[in-house]
Amino acid sequence: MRFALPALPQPTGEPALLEARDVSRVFPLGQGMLRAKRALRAVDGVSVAVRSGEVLALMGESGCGKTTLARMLLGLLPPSTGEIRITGRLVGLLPRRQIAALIQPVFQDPYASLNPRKSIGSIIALPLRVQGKSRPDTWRGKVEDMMERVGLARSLYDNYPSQLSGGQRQRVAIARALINHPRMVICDEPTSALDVSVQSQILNLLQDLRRDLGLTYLLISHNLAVVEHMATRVAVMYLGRIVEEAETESFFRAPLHPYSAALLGSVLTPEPGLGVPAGELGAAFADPLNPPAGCRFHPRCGRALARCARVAPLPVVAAGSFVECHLHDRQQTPAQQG
Amino acid sequence: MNERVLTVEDLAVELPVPAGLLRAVQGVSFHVDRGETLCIVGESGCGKTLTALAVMNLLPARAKRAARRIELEGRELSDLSERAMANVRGNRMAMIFQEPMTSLNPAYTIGNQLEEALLRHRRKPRRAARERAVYLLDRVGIRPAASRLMQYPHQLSGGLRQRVMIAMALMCSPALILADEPTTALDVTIQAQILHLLAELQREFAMGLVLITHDLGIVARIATRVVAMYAGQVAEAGTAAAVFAAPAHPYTRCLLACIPVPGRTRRGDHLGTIPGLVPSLVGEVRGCHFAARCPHVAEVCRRVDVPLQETIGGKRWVRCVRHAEIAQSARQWSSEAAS
Repeated sequence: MRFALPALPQPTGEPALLEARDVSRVFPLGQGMLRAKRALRAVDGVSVAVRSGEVLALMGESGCGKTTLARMLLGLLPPSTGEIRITGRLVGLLPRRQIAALIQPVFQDPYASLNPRKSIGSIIALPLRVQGKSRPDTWRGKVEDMMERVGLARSLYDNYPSQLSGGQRQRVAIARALINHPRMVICDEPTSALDVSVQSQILNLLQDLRRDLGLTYLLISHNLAVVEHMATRVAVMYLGRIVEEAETESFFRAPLHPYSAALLGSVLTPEPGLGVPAGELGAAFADPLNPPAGCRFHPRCGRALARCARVAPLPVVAAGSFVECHLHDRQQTPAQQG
Repeated sequence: MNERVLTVEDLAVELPVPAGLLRAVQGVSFHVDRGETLCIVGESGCGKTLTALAVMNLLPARAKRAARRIELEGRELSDLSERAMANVRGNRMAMIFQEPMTSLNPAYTIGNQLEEALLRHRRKPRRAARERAVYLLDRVGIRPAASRLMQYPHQLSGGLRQRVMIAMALMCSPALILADEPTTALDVTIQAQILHLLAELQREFAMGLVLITHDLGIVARIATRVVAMYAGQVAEAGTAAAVFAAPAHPYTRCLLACIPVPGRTRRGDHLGTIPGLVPSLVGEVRGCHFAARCPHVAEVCRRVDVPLQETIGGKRWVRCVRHAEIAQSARQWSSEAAS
């Protein structure tokens, strides 16, 4: 039995822009004809809310469920259990087109996410066509304005993705995401396929667009320096659970969960002489097919207690943050079964 | 006195492409001593991987390699036959690649693949090879080593596979290891562990290590010396401490300004950028390769080919005609900012 945490209380009365409540996603995995299918719980009881205007960063190692969660939030994948609401309305009941008008994705690899046989202009115009709310003769003007907004020359309108550099392609992906003026963009590793000199251009652009257009971002990234630079709040995932959520500043100053601390301890800042940290985690790795009993992190945790192997930790909530770790249990844990 | 392991002088790699001849590596020189880590850093397409492949003589067949000197432990490699080269590779120098899944053979056990190098190069009995494999697997943190020998690559995680690759590279106690982006495919916590292990083993076995990466954080933390490459050439070379304290080439300076650094860059502030694109290396490029994107470009930069020059103080090499002026103005600027 896992416990569900109600999403952190809203400072204002308005509903969160995007909210997941106790969301899980199970993938049945076949193992050959004669053996029963096993369940892979990619996301297991996650509650998270993204408030208007913030940049929430989702961190965690590969296979921890970040991308599965993002796909559910985008309405691309139905959750096995739990509910997702956009501006207070249930995602399952909203037509796809309406979700797409509110939330748009920007994916990691701009070489794979753009149709190579469509021109730049028609790639960016496609969401206008899908929504069908504007007259077709206005599309070219809107697309060219948006191209200019994201730093693409208008003259590239009739070019094809293969003629563009990686950074230009990612600008196309951003222009396509923004053409219908969504409230929120989910950026899944938006710069990890790019060179650092191009990464900085895209990060600057995302910052400018957020400020000018009042956007909200969910940023999925494994690059902690990028997260520190971009995010207002961070959530750390481990084996399908969010194990810590906090304001960016306090998180980088004093992470609460041992896994968060290990993540921060492995950041290699460009400071010569400091050497490479040994890494606090053992050589064991997280296997989502066989999640350990108790706290899922305990086999790799240097500070594990006896009960960590038996009892799954309850979320401990403080102002604007929470952590799932026995080290932070209050003396008497309030019964919080949901 | 340091023992020189590898000397590369004036290395060039050319590749025929539909548009003409791609001059991917041009006049690259560097050296590595025993117990030293040299990082070759640069962005995609700068020629860093081809440089490593050229040293190993593992370039694609259509590529042409030329060099004044490629010397490993005092032995010239550039005119060795493929057969003689095969006796050097995996024996005196070994390479670790980025993606361990594609460089391990999925059809053979870990043990088989580890023992191969020793059986091939040293003609040791299988028992001795097995003992060395168990010792090294244990040394790279794969335990219990003896039972892991029977496993296949797909049964290991990415981090463990990269540890196997490291153990494999060490089987014949090479004098030099070339590692091309060894941790790019790994998670950050695993990356730190693998780099820590590499640095430790390199010291323990007093090897030379050439590490190729695009990550300036890795360079700063692990390198003794740095070679920064841009568009096929060495832009700057020097000790890691010196290069990071005061990068001398405008490209290196710009590159360092591009990355967010927790505690140093202010959250949400604009990061530095390098406008423009890397020049095409097909055919001749006149003048400085960085001229079109350089904030300090002068008329002379576009006209003359810039040699790699030793700077004042020595031990520092820069390919920029204006580096002294730029360093001077940077000093003035920072002293004004401080006052």
